[in-house]
Amino acid sequence: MITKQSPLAGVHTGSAETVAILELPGLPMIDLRVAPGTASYKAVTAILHIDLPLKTGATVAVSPDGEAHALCLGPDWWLIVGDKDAELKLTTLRSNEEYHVSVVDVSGQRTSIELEGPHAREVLAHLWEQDLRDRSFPVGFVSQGLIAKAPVIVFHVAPSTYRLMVRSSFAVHAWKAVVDAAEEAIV
Amino acid sequence: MSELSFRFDNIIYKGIAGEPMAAALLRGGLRSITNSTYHGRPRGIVGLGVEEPNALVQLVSGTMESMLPASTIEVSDGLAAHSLTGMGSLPDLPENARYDKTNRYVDVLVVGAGIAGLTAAAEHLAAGREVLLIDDQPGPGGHLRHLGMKLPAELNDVLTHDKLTYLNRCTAIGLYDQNYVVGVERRSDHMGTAAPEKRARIRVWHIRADRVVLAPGAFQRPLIFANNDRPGIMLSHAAATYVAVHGVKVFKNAVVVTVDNQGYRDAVRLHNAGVHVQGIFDARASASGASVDAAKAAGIPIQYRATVLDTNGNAEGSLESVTVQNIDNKETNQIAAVLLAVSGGWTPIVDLPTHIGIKPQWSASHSAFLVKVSNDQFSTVGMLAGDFGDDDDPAVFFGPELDEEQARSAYIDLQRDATLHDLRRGVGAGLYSIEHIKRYTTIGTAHDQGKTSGMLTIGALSQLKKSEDGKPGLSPSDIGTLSFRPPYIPVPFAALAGRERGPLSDPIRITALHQWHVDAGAVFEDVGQWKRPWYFPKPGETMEQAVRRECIAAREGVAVMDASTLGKIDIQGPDAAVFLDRIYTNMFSTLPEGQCRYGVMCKADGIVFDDGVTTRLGKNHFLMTTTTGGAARVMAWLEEWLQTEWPELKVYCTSVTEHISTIALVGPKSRQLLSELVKDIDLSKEAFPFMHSRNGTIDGIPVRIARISFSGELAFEINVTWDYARYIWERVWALGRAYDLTAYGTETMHVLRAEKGYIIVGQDTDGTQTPYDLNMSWIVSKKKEFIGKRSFQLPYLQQPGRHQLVGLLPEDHEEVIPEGAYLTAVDAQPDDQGKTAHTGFVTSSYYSPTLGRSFALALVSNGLNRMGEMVSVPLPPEVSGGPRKLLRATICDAIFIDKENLRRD
Repeated sequence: MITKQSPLAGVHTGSAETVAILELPGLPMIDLRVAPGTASYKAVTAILHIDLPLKTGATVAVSPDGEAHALCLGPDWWLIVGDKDAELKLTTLRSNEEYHVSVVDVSGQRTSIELEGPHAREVLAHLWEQDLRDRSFPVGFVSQGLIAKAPVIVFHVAPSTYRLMVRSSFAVHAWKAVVDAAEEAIV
Repeated sequence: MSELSFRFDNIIYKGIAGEPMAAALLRGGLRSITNSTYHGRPRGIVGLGVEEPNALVQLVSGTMESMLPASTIEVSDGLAAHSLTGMGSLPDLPENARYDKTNRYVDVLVVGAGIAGLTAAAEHLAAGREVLLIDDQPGPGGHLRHLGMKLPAELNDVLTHDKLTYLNRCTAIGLYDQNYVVGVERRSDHMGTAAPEKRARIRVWHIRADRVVLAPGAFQRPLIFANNDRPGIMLSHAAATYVAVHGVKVFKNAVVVTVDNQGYRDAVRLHNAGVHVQGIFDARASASGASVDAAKAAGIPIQYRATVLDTNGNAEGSLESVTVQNIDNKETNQIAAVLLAVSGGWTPIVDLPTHIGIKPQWSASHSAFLVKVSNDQFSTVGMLAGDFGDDDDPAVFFGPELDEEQARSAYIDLQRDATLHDLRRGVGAGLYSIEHIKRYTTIGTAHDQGKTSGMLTIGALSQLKKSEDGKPGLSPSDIGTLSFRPPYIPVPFAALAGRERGPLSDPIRITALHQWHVDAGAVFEDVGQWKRPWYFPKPGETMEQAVRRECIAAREGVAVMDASTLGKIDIQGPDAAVFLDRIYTNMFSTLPEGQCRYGVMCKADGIVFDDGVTTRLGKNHFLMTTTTGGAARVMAWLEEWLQTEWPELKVYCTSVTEHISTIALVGPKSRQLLSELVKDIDLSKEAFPFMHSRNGTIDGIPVRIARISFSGELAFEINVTWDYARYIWERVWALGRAYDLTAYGTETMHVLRAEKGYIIVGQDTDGTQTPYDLNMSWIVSKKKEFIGKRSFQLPYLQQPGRHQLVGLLPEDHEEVIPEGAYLTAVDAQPDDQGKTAHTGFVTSSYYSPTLGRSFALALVSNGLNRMGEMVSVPLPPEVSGGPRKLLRATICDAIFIDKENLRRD
């Protein structure tokens, strides 16, 4: 039998009453680079049927169910998460000479650790040097930084839910740091 | 209030949970707690908190922490400590306590939970702001706690406000620009053995606040007089608090010496607690106020223009009597007393503002340096800002005039045993700057960093100046304050490290196949942050045996390794080929689609910086591999050129290091084994030549196979996404049983590549080699420009005698030369200093089972023109492990096997 294996093998701990910490394995991720305002950008938005957010840190839902998102990581840089067809749809642009678009499947590059529950923000604050207050980091925003010296993208998914997208090779290290930070919060 | 017992210097004392250990020791009758560090004089408890200069203890329970003032330790069950004479020791034990670190962004941070801090907190809460209130005491109230008084009701409400976070036992240790404050919260020591197991002992708070309010309060300061260090001489506020609040009954009688009304308040507290206060000696000419009236009403004798000149001690050195002096006529009088309560004025805690460069201002009416700042982002309140209450009028007075003999026992810094005599000597040596005086006398350099001694030094210096030239003298403002630096109190390193200790001290990066390697018994080596299998010993095998077995399998059968740690960068765009031509020394625009090419990149100085194989996946699409350790550096390098120098190039780079796992299948039988797995690619050498790449599937899983060899053998790299890597590896392994498939690690990889003369950048280079120095002129294109090319023209890169990469064959075939060993000419003689000039050094050295002998790579001066020459390898005893050894080796070409490249097909 063919088995997929995620960096954290679907591990989970804690509970939703305090904070639940779990891996969301296997989320499809596409790294998209294209300059806004160009014909290439227009071609991309036409294929995705959405306007990509232009403010770094902003996100937009790219599927009707709201499960897939485009995260703006830089002025010409997006990560499309949760849309398994996005790469196929966009690769056609890669072979088109008129366009300057980079589309790279990076599904294996990172895994996702989700913190959910009333103590999620507090646990994350133990590891994250950036301001997590709603006025600075509202729901629907992402930011890049370090957790225990490992590069991580943090996505504020819902009021008490944060998703950490961590490089696969760092995932076990980051998981240990998160669990250590939650030692006192998970009772 | 539960009574319990604790041990101090192996004696059992009774204490009340939560009270300061100093209080319990005093109540237990311990006056002299230790001897001083340098003069060996008996010393007792002086203060109430972190300002305590004498009573240092070492815990012999819990974390065994050292150099803690007894006044800051809360009595708890199981507590044990012993006294210290100035110097503690760290236990030679692993630190098992948990340490925590967190970040907090908040509207308002208030430092200090005294009346001033609580009042400020109340105002901000009323304005709808969120407030973080931190205070180093176990409970709120500041001086009110010391007075045994309860908070006013309206301030009690502050503490229960839902927008307030109050952290007790949390000390602000540093203030930095942009309202960044670091707080250290002690969370479990006070609980003793009852502390929950998971509870972090210390939590460091990194606080960024929109507004900071400092309400740190003040320390009382002592006075300078002869023999002012005896047990029984205490700060009046501390003495009165220990007596009135903590029930210390050992002081039957007392003398109070003061320069302000605080002495009167404390005299009344002592009197009311049953101590016979024989007099208040006030340096001022007169005094008024409620506290003075209260002292008069209590019948305590008051003498103005009087102070303490000297003291006498009993047999153990503790206070027995006090010599008081009329300041004007110098007449003295001796009074028997066991307690001398000293009130030398208040020293507001200016440490935090000075951390960001704010200079405290002298106020003669307060006899203190103050910091008065009030703006939207940053403000000071309470005693720091000069709010000393309305019942105070302190004199600028630091002690009586003392002769040289008296000055020798007039202590300024009790912990450092630094006296007024030392200070005078410093001034006599020509020092006036407070910073120079500090370093000359060591005043203010002990654990307490001058909390009581700093202001005394400034005061004494100002007096010295006056007495020397007879003029009105200097004001303390002319001396200025010391610059304090964080941390405000000593902080254990473990607390600052937080959770980034032990296994979490640095990230450990692992591949998708890591657990397989662990289960297979691999021994790991660190390559950057990566854990890579070094070799896979079978039970009972030594490393040497395992590596020989792995090498032979790769050369004669089939072997497999995890090459996933190589950096991988996806490069796309219409200008991708142009870009790579500029980055690499060799040409990539001519590389056909579906083919791979080895490339070397140089920095602008022409020095080799990284190398690897890049594959052309499409017309405008490449996949670059980098060295394992160089991945991030190379990515940053590419981005630097794209973003700053060549923004016109249409190229995007994306790291895919983790996305793609790479399994290297190596050896003459690798094709046969792989053909059992891959059905949709013709693996024959005609259909799938060396340095070509093909897409296919294994069990329906997409894979990209590349004929890349880092060993010279027939080899295939299987590239697959992270999530299928383990499955593919297991499939290869299961099928490999019939071929005696052998897993190998980095050591075997190193031997195999060195046999073929393949370099490892960073091992066979030392940051000074051009491609020419590495005998790789073939990789330098003459047809195009690239980074570093022009530097090759530099005279020093063309000089003869440069270190060049060559092979070495040791005379003794069994002797493996240590890597790093220096080489000398065989006829080299030591110079007149006994030193022999070297002619190069060994970069890689192994035993080759294939060659049946040892071999090495070396960087040798002018080495490429010295083929066949014998060199010496002197090994000093610390390297040879025995007597000094002199090996010999012959310089040869760096390719040891298969120069014709016959094996790779």
